[in-house]
Amino acid sequence: VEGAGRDALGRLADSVGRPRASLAAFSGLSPQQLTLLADAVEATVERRRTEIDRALSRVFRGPAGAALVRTLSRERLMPWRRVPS
Amino acid sequence: VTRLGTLSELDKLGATLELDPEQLAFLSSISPEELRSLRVSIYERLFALNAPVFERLARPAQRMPARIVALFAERGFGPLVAARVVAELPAKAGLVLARKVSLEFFADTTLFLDPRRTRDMIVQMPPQQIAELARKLVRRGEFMTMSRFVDFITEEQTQAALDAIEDEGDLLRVAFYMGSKNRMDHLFRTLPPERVERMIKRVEAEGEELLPAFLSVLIHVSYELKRELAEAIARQPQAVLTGYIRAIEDGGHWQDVLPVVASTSAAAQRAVVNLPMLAEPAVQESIVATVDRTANWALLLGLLRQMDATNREAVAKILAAKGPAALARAADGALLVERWDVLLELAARMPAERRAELVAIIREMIGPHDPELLERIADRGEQFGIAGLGDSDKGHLMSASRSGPSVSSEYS
Repeated sequence: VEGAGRDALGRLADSVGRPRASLAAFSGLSPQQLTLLADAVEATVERRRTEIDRALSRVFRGPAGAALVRTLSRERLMPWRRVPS
Repeated sequence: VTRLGTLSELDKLGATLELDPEQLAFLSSISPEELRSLRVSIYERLFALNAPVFERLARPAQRMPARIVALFAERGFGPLVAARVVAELPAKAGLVLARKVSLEFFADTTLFLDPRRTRDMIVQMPPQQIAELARKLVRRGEFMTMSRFVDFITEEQTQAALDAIEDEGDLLRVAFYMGSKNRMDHLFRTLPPERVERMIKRVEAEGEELLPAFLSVLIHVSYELKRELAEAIARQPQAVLTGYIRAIEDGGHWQDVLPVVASTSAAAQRAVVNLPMLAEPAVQESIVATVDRTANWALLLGLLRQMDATNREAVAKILAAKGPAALARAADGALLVERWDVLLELAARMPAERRAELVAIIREMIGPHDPELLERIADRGEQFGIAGLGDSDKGHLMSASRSGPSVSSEYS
């Protein structure tokens, strides 16, 4: 893999959290194809991150959420910051 | 590399990335194993998202009454968060929770559940619950989701799920996406014969959709079961068999199917290879092209033994038209399985120029390494009227002519 192709393979490796060498089977793809794949993986991860954030936000809304927050506070188990209070 | 394995993986990768599998067609040359490995890496990344949050949510969930946690899960967490929290719970706590939530919600959750992380919980679920879940997922058409769990359930649970999936077509849809081929073999081996018969008829009726799944099963099961299933197909009426062949041709599945046909008895092979449809030039061309591209001449030479003379004549013409490189690959195949008689009979049906080329190829391939074998081949060649193969024929090499009308329709 040369030039842009090498960079695109590196991007794909980063997007799936694997060493570049472990993706040797994909090295025959063009830079555009590798980029499309890496972009699709990143978009999937972002979608899932957003879904999780939304779901967690829902958890802490309403009476059920208030009860959960009380339980978590009592258990001292609420140290994260991503979830809106 | 099987084309069907790649198709199955592209479907799964497309579903993971929310892309149409056709958008990923550029990955068709990558092996199914590599595609699977890439998909698993993506799963790993998705399951690693917000991991500390889910670990913390799981801690109080273990101390609260399961009924309350189930209520939180259904009304607050939703299926995505619930699936992630359950993966952080001890199996026993997860199991209690799975009993408390509604079947509808549990089915929603399975879409996000990682079977590898919840294996201990899954194997302890009552078979009845697995059966209910299977029915629900089948109704929703969640075959891919179901396939992810088949590798992780017990024998008793598998049987319950099999009984719950009443439609053999649905069973094939699940099987198409299964990762473990050993499991696939076991699953289909436990099917009663009447369900296998129904499955074969369903595939013929809905070939376009179900044939790839059925072929995938045929390819991946053990040799013994492969043979049993293929024999059951070969026993079908000619119209049914022709339907299969049409779907195989239309789907470009010869690469996967020919080894299955080759695994059957001589009688079953004869029933298949002499179907009128296999005499169509386009189909013959397609089969020979597949065999040549995948260097599988050894396999076709075996099947040719069961073909009638007209079909062999057609194959000889197609091979001759392909030129010396294809002739050399065919000779390699003959060497591999000792099918010189079949290749020589094909040669006898070729134009003189091609026959001479094949004779030269065989001499060069065998002569320096195994003169005795070359002599035996030369003897067989003489039976088909082919000269120039043996040492004593050197002078006639370029003519390599047929000396008599000995193109027989049967092999001795």
